Amino acid sequence: MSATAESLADLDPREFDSEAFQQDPFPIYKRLRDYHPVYHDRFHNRWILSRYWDIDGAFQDNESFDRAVYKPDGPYEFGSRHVFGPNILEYGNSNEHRRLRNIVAGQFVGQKLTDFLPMIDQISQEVIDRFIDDGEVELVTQFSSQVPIRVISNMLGLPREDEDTFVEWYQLLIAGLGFGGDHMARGIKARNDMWDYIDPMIRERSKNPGEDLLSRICVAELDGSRMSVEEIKGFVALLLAAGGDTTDKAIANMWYHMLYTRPDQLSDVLENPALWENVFTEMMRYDPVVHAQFRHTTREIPLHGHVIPERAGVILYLGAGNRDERVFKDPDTFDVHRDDLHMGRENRSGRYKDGKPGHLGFGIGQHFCMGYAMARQESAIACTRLMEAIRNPRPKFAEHPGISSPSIDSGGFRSPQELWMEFDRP
Amino acid sequence: MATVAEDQLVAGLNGVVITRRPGTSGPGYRTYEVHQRERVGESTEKIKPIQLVSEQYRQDPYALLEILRENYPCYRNWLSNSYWITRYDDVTSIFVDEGNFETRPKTWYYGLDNFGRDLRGELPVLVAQERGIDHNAAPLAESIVGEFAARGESDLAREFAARYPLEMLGRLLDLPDGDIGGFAERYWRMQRGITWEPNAQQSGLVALNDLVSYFEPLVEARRANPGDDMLSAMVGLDVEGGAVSAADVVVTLLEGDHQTLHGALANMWFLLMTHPDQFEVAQTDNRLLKVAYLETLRHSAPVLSAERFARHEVERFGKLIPEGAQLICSAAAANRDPRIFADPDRFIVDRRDMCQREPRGQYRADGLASGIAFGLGPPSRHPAIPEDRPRSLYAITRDTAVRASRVLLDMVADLRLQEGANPHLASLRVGEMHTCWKLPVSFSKR
Repeated sequence: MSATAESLADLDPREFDSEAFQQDPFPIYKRLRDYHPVYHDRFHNRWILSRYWDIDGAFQDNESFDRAVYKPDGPYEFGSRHVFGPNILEYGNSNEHRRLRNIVAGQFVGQKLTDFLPMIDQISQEVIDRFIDDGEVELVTQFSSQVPIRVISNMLGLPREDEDTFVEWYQLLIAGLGFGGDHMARGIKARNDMWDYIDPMIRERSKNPGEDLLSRICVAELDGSRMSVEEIKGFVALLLAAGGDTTDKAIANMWYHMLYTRPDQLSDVLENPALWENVFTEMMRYDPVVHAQFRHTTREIPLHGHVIPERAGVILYLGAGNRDERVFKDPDTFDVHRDDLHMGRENRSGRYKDGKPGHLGFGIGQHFCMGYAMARQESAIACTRLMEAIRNPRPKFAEHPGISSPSIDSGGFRSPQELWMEFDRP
Repeated sequence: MATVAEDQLVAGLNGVVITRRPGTSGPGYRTYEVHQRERVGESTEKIKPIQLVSEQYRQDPYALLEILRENYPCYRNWLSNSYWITRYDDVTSIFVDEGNFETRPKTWYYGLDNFGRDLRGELPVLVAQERGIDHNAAPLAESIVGEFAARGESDLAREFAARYPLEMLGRLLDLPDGDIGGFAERYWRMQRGITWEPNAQQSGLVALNDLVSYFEPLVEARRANPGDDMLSAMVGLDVEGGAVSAADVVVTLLEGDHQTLHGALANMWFLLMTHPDQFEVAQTDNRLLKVAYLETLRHSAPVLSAERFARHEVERFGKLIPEGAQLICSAAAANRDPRIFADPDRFIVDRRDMCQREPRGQYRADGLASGIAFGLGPPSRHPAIPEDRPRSLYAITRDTAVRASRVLLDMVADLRLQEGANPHLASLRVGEMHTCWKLPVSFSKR
């Protein structure tokens, strides 16, 4: 191996902390893909993968790219250092992960999901009714953040009168995923409040289970063992946050793209509401809610002339892979009629019968998003209901600052800060 | 059921808390759940990670390191994805623990696996190095000081401390006379490339390649016509893996370092010039010059910290350190640990609470601790002095600094800081050698 003087100099790792990257990461993603398919960011002590098939490969290879920081058979007490408490996000390749995931994974797909659809419909309608007479709506606060949390808390069978409190909790929980000590402290306080609130319910439903999701989680058995109370609490925190906030941001992003990125395609969608699923898919490719996933190598990974060492931190930039021009034509164009992207429902294999590549927004493989089907259905239903209730939707302001990531101190996902829309009544 | 006082919290319209601390301009894209593994409920609000790469840290890291040492002795720095170890005993424990932690060679930072072999430990090389240093220590100092002695003034940092180690290296390798300047510039750039800063990395890699090209004809010439210099000793080695190449020579130079000599000389003269009372003590004899050198390495270590990597998942200091984690062992913080040294911020040449062992965080049998200075090469095995060599590399370096300083003291008189001069220590870039870059002095010729 020779000391090749490849151009390191054109990408300063501090750019990843810049406001420009927070606002628009895509130019840097392109530089990564084109010139640094394996980038060793020594400032942040991590490696970065950004090309579609490299990310796909890392997702598919769980043996080499581990999700967890700590070893499942080591002394680490899972959940002890996570704002959600014990939850499967902390598990890597372990039987514990499989056990917990299998308990709940089936609750969000197939017939179980279909059973919930009328409820999603009804909640969407209730939320829409609150602003329908105003002629305008701020979609983020009044719509997108209202629907998913009500859906998930309804699924869990939590009292409807406390729904506003749940919204507050999950916002604090998500912010607490961040690095800032204050955010984390507030997140933990919210989590503890939530746990105190939910503790009697868990005990009650373990004895007298109902039809709701919480009851099912309480009594679900796999190989004869139930989840512990602590595990159930961690799971509820995860469901509220991951099931609430991500779909919330997805709906906001879908409307943003229809109002600002491709207003010309909004009319297509207005004519054919089935296209909302395409809007969802293309949004998850073009600028997904979650842009990055972290993995740890379990062996040396030779790739593109570099060797990523064992136990190195690796960032997979899903948002970069999704714009890989090696995979998608005109990747920087948002197009709901795109013919080189698998538009239908995703799956964890990432391989589709139509032979087209899917988006990376849900991940692939062992840690593929459990709520993939629900997020899609819920977003499509909520958007369709809203569209049916109004006529002539249009942006209130001609200019919009765009989608951005939240402050580095707090956790959270990419979305517009606010999104004003005007409309007429039918 | 409000959970947080409203005045503490500003929620963005999309629900995500967007409060930024007043005065911080550093919001940035954060990647979802990248390493946030601080113990739940633990707050590290007294310091922000960005401060550890700030201008303040570049100039004077000691106040910031004190915050870490006294509050968060094992600080999870999420920005640099590393753990900062700052207490004396903790730093020492990580540094000596070869079972659980490793130091990675500088070639690793350049991504150069199997590029060349590190020949520093080969006995013929060590012998040639020691012989060359002993032979040149005084004459080289006399030649350098002679250039400015008659002038009555000098910048000791630039004209003495910075020149001496690199010209010494040129003499050890017996480089052709006119080559020293070009060699030193490239060597220095290559060493400075060991950083996260991509321009410097790039420039360092170019310099490294240039040096390989430079040494290729020299290696062949010495193979045909060996001398008693260190380069000939390297070329003449019979080592596993075939004949020694120019790449091996460059890797050997890369893994070595001159900072303990350059930085320590500059810092020692900075401290002596700014502490005239201590200067009085130090110049009395060579023994006191030697302890002044050791106290310099403690008080103002030129190499502020060393990186170690965890070989296994291991619990230390109340935290579970993941396998592969990077640990920044801060010599600067440990050397000012008040648990070990009384009045640690003061520069006291004949300090009674420090022993004169190799400054690697060692305790003498009577409990006295040494300072900690990194960059001295691999730890000396116990006993510290290898059987077939009269002195360890540490001792050689120390004696060289003392001899060079003695030459300076012998050649000029009435050495003092120039009127109005305001010298200070700083790193050129955060994470690099912390030393004095400008030290204007006046004197009269003896």
